[in-house]
Amino acid sequence: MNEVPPTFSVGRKPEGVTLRADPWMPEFGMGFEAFVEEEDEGQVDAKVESEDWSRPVVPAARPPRDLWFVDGVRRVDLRLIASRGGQRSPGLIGSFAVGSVRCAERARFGEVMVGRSVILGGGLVPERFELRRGSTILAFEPLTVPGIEPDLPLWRLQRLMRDAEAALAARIAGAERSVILADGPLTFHEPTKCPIVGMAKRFHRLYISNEQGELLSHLGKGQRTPLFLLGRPESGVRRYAWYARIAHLPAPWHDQTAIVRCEVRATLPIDEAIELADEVTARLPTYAGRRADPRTPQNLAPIAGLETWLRHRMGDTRLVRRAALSWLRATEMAP
Amino acid sequence: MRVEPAKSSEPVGMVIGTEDSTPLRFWVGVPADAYLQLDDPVLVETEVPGRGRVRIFGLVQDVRARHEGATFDTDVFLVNSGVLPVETAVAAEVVATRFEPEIYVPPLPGLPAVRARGRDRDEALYFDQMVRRIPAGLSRDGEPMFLDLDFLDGGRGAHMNISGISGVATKTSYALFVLYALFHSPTLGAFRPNTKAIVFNVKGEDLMWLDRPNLRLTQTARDDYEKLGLPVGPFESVGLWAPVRQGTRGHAVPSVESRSEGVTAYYWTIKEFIRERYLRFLFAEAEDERSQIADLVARIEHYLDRECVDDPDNPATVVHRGVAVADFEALCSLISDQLEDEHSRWRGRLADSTVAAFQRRLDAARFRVGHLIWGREAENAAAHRIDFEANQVTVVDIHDLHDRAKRFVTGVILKRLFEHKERIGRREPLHILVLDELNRYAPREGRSPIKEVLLDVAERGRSLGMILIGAEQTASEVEGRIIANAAFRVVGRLDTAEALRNEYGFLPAVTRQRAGILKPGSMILQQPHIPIPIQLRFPFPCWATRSEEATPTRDSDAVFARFRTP
Repeated sequence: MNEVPPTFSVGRKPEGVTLRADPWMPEFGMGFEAFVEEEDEGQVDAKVESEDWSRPVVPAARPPRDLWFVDGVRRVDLRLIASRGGQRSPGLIGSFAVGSVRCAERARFGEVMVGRSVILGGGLVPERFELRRGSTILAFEPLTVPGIEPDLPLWRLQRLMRDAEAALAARIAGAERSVILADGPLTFHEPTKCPIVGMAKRFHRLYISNEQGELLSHLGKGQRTPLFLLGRPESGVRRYAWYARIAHLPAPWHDQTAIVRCEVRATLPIDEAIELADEVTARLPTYAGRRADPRTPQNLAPIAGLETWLRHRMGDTRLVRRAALSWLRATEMAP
Repeated sequence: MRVEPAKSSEPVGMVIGTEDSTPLRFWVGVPADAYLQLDDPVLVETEVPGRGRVRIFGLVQDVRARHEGATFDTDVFLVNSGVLPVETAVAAEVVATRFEPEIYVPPLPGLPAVRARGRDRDEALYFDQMVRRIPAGLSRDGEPMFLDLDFLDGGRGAHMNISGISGVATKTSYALFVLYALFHSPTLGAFRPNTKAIVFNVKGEDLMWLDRPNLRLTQTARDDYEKLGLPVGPFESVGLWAPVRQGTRGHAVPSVESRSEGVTAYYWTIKEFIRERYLRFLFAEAEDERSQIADLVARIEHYLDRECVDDPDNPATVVHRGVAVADFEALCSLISDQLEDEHSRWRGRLADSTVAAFQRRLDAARFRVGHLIWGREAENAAAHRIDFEANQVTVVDIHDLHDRAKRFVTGVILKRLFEHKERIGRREPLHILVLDELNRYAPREGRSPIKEVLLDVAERGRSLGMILIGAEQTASEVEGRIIANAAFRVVGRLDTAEALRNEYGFLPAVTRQRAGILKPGSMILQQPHIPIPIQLRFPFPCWATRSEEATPTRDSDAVFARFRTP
């Protein structure tokens, strides 16, 4: 590159739109609970593996095998308010990063992808813009959401991150022969060379009946419930799911702590899904989160390590925030 | 096959930005495919706006490695079992030694660092500025290290002081290595043949084999000498002197256990004792500053010299008022008689208690030192007077003597040498004095005649060309002015508590810790040119240090070999 780029290229703001920043730090007055990701899945078939929900399934121990973990983190760097006429829409400037860890004899970080975006609500479409910090150029991809509810731009950022996670998981699944564990519910179902297992750390909605749910309290470490089928046939994302206990946490901790919900795509033959469920359930306790982790034990140790690494790779939010504010000031003054 | 060290500098990492980079101290991040170890010379080039390129040289003072991303001590077990992903980070702390040109700026984070080799290394260690340099040993990566002769021979500085625990610190061996390097490198030029060394053998008979090659020298040690540009062999010109055996009369036999030939017995005569005023060295233990014994000794020396005339019948003795002082016993009686005589001028107005104290010490000296001062029984006194001009290295054995006698011999030789140098009045050729157990001769507290001479050597020896290579277990027990005058400070294995004392203030904290774990043959050298002390090792002596090394393997060894456990 021969010519030195300017500190930032000023993107044109949408016609007649005033773009202003909210001085509150993003962690205040913003955010949504994870249950937003738990949609109503309609009919659940809890008899795909067994009708007997009185006893846990106890998988046999497995020989060591490579395991991949895929996860992402996201962050709002600056909240925006876009106004046109009398209408005010929420917006944000945010960053996300997705990456992977391969656990073999040693656990190693795989490739990392960092993305940044400027998202406006109310159907306003921002322009792509770049910020230059030192020798690094930060490019913000423009996105829009139709509504004006305050959390919508954040929801969009979350989806952006999930999509990137899914793409990374699919890329690894296409190239490696192993099992891939992706953080969160499974959001895609295209067949891959090796299986991808989604893992929800926490759940509010129990898809099975209350009687069946009794079994969760009786699961031992490394044991699971029978498989059940989730998702409407017409919606496409149908998957087999099961609950598994990854650590032994006696009272005073409640009886559903240390339980995760795992999912695989339902296009797998049921035998393969069962085999995969057994393998993952048997393996998970090894990777249970450290006691000192704020989300112990469901935040698996490789995932926790990966998240720390990814947050670091997103760069210092103070620098991004400062650069974004300079950009806003410059666009304000632009003719 | 030996691996030749690379001659061109090689990349080893980058200046990191997570630790403050300062002109005198900065950190270099080391990638997985490179390494830096303690004492490695490092070079970083940085661009200074408007001033051009600045080359910053430094030495690695500390290296650390850590898991990045691990929070708890127990994380290491998770990492090891393949559960927790982390990065391993290695970084080396570099202390700057030199800036070319002298613009004191910090190297900026991200600048590449190289391990200095060849000419870069010479610059980092100032070897390029040492016009007259002699080998000082090998750095731990096997490259030659040098010391600047200008700071040893009195040109710009003088003296060397070596501290360390006996037996492990190899102080004397290092002193001899420096002598060997000096005598076998061309640096001294035309003065080399006439440069002399006087070495006191204070422990065992290790130094009584300096004139023999070490037949058991390993090939590795030979390679080390080759790297240093030194030949392998013994000291060529050595005079070995041992005290005369107690109880012998007439024919003087040296008191030495391990070898029978090539060692000359030494003693002094009554006449020398009186004329050269050696009496004071019988009273050479450290005295309270207020003690008056020294005054009494000076009076007696004075009157002895004045009232005694040379014995016409014997060159070794004197006559006092018509009575021959035939031996040391007679001399002691003469002194006692004079002191007991209340009208004698010898005792002056000194108190009875002082005289009594003097008498007690004289008695002790008579018993411990008497055999070294001969009277009529001396046959050929000249042949038994220590001649430090006859050979390049003169070894004076005192290891088996009583403390009092050790002080006497040391004091007498120091005085003679100092007077000799004063008479010559010029610096070169040099006389180098190697003296272990300095704390015995120049203790921190009190005064003694030897300490006076040693202080003279330390403070004036530089201009007189009399160089002191002194050694002691603990520098904290030695007169501070003697230590302070040494241009070179060398430290072998140190007691941990001793290493914390002020006398070792020149050692940075990390180096002090290292001094506690040094192996025999490893020393830490501080020299005027280089701002931080550097650890080095020196090769095993290529001269014999005991009879087994001096003689070819005998059959008896084979016999004994059978008894060794496999």
